[in-house]
This record gives sequence, C-alpha cells and structure tokens, in this order.
Amino acid sequence: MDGKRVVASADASVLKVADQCTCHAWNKDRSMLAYCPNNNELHILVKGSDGQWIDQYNLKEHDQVITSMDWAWETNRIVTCSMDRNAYVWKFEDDTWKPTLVILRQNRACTHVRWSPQENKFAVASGAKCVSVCYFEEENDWWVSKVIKEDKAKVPIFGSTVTSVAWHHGNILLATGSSDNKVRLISTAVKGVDSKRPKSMFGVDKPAFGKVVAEFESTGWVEGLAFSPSGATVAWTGQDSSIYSVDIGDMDAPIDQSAVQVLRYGRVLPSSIWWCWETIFVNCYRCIFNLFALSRLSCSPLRCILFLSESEIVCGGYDMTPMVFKREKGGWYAAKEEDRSFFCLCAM
Amino acid sequence: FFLFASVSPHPSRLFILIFSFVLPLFFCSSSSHFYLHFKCTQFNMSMLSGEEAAPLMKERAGSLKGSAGDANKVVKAIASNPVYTSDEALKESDRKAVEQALSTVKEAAIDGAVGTLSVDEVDVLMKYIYKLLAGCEIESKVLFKWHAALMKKGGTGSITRVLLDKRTV
Repeated sequence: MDGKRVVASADASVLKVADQCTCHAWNKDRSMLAYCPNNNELHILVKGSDGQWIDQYNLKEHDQVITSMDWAWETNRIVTCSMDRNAYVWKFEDDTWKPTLVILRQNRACTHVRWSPQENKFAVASGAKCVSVCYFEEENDWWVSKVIKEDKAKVPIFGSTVTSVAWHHGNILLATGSSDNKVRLISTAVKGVDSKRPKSMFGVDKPAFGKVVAEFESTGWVEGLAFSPSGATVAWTGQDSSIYSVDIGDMDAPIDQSAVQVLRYGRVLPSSIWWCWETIFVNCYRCIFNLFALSRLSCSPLRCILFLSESEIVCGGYDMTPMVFKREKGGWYAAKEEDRSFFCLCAM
Repeated sequence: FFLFASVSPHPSRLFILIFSFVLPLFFCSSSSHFYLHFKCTQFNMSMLSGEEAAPLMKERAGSLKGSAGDANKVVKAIASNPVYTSDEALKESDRKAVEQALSTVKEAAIDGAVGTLSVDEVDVLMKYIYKLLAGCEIESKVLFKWHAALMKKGGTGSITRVLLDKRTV
C-alpha cells in the first residue's frame, strides 16, 4: 500500500510517512500511529502539541517485513506479525515499547493479525494454511498459541494461505478468509480465557476450539474481511473485483432452522428416503441464497473492507482510492459522491 | 421394504429393519461432515463431464447458428447459459462455433450488442474473447474492438474475473 492516500473529502489530510507502507494501526484517541515502511522496523508516530507528527519510536525486533499489525485500544498493546513467522506483543512500559515474543508454531509467513474484541486473544493468519489463536497464560507469564489447522478427523481445514481474519463482537467466533476462495466461521472458545462457551452457534452445540461452524464460497481469493458492528453480517472482498456478504443474523440462533436441522439429520436418515433428504437439502441451499449478496464490480480488486455502519462499507484496493458502498436492493452499490469524513479509514 | 418389514414383525425381519437404519449411517457420512455443520455452496464450481455437457453443447451450437447475423441475438446466445465442462474436444467445437457466430456481426453493431448484456453475461463474453485471442486464427483487430466495448461496460473487474474464475470456457 502506498503511503500517500488521496481522499476527496475536505476533512481529510494527506500524511506521507514513507515511500511504502505494508500495514498501520491507530491507537484509541488517534494520537499515535504505528506503521511499517515495508521493512522489519515498527515505527510509531506521536502527534505533538502543535499537531505535527513526530517519528518517536523505531522498534527493530523482527527479522523480516512486518505484514500486519493491530493496536488493542483498551489495554494499549500492539501485536505485529511478520514474514519471519513470528509475532511480537508490544507493551508500553517506562517510556519504551517492550516486545514479547509469541511462539506461533507456524512454518510460513504470517499474513494478518487481529486482536479479539475483549483483547485477551489475538488471531494470526498464515501462509502455512493455519490460523494461530494466542492467549496469555498467567502462570507462566507468556503467550500460548493454539493452532487451527485440522479438524477432528485430521482433514486439513484450509486449502491454501489464510489471507485475513475478522472477529465477531462476542469474542469467540472468528471469520477467516483464504485464497482457496472460501470464508470460514470458526469457533475459538478457549478454556480459561472465555468465561463461558456459547450454548450453541448456528445450531452447533457448544462448539469446541477449531470447529468450523459455517463455510461460504466465492469465486476469487478472499482479500478483505469484516463483520458488521452488530455482527449480523459478514462481508468480504474478493480478488475477482467483487463484494460478498452473508447475513448470518444472531449467532445464538441457527442461520436457518430447517437448514441446520436437515444437515444434522442427514446422517441418520435411512437410505430409503434419501430422495427426501436431497429435496430438503436443495431447499436449504435455496433459503440461504436469499441471505447472500454479491456485487460484481467493474473496478480493480478491493483489498480491504471496513463497515461504517450496518449498511455502509468503505473499501480500498488497486484503484488507489477508497470507495463507499451502500446496501441497497440486496447488493452493494457505490454511494453517491458526498462530503463524508474518512475518519474511519484509520482501522484499515 | 419397510412396509414389508413392519407387516410381519418376525425376529429376523426386525433385524433387517434395524440393520437398514444402521447401514446408511456408514455410507452417508463423508469426511466433510465430520467438521462442518453448515456448508453453503453459492456457485456450482464443478465442471460438467463430457457426457453431461454434450447435449447442452449441441443446444448451444444450434442457437449460435440460428442467431447468425443479428448482433444482439449472437451475444445473447454466447453469453447466457454458458456450459462449463472439462472435455477439451467439446470446448474446441464450442470455440469454433462462437468464432463463427462472432464473425457474422458487423463492427458497427458491437457497442449496441454489448450494451444489452448483464454483468454476468459481460464476464462470460470476456472469457470467450480472451480464449479467441489466445487461439487467434482470425484477425485479432475485430477481437480487440470487442474487448474495448466489453471493457467500457465491465471495466477491469470483468478481466480479473476472467483470470480468476476456475470455470473456464
């Protein structure tokens, strides 16, 4: 991503920090900005009293390019992940940022990292076709990682690199986008960290850690992924210049009652009424289709996505300009050119 | 089978009745169901086999031949209801039929014809244009005119979908 961002609004300003930036993160009151200028350094800019940005910290702990970072707003910690297959959690102590290495047990580069909403876990997506969910263990005073790679039957879950992760506000459901064209919703309930396991998630009773509770397909690699503020919709952008979204509704209730029930009973129905199973099976796909919205766009692919509200998203991509889309008539359409502040782009 | 079993509750037949419930359990559960409770396949990504696609391809060839001359009819015949198959011979004959149909369209009628297409149809026609450009037995000048008209309608998005969609024509 180019360090220069040209925006059409009068409220915005352009801040050139470097020739290239791979990732960035704002702190809670937007007074500090962390970024990586496409090398192994983590820079933190601090806004001075006169409104000028000062390059205050230059933190060199990683060996290779930092691919992604996230700033936990309440606990004021930064997590960075890099192509050197490591992640560091940075804590501000005694006027400096102190790093803590997190053993991720991945053997390929990390692509994306995000703190969970309660900031007691973070998820790291990787090119090793796995996602590491890390939490802090008090007894040993270090970060432990649990890897989501295979299901109970030792079948690999991901077909290819996991490109992005997004957390549901309930702190347990994690959406993962991968370059095998699929978005998967996975349960990350960790004993001891999550106070109570949800009773059911889309009809699955007490899903264990690493259980894939839903899977959605697209025709291109998943690039940007986001949950809406209420968690009722998950939207993603594909490398095939499209925006997809699925209304998953309230997580406690199944996506569609008849759909989930059929899939559960599907394994115990005798073969003599197989035809009945198939008919219902087709119906369950049909009712899901109504909840699914797809917009084929004519612009270049979009790489990141952010929800401004329940029905508005802003995306940025290879067309070098952020675009706002509104949910209308079952699809995402470009909003009219309005003088709107791009303040919310900070989290991208 | 079940009516028969229920009518005469003989011990051995009861065993068959119970067995008929247990046996399907081993056959209908596939490995994908072990971890997944909810799977949503929005797109039919599977390519048809040769036998399945042959009658559809025949229909397609017929409609392509019938639409020759009328630009709007030609593009609709090419772009609506594409048949995605893995059989190379069928794909080759389809390519020839599309090439033949496109050559009957006058250059002046290209823009108007492309204007009648929907977003998905523009993507399909773009796939064919790229396929023909790769083969390129006819002059490519007119193909680039088609490409320009489709770009005006579909933008770079239609090209990325040609590159990324696993369902090739």
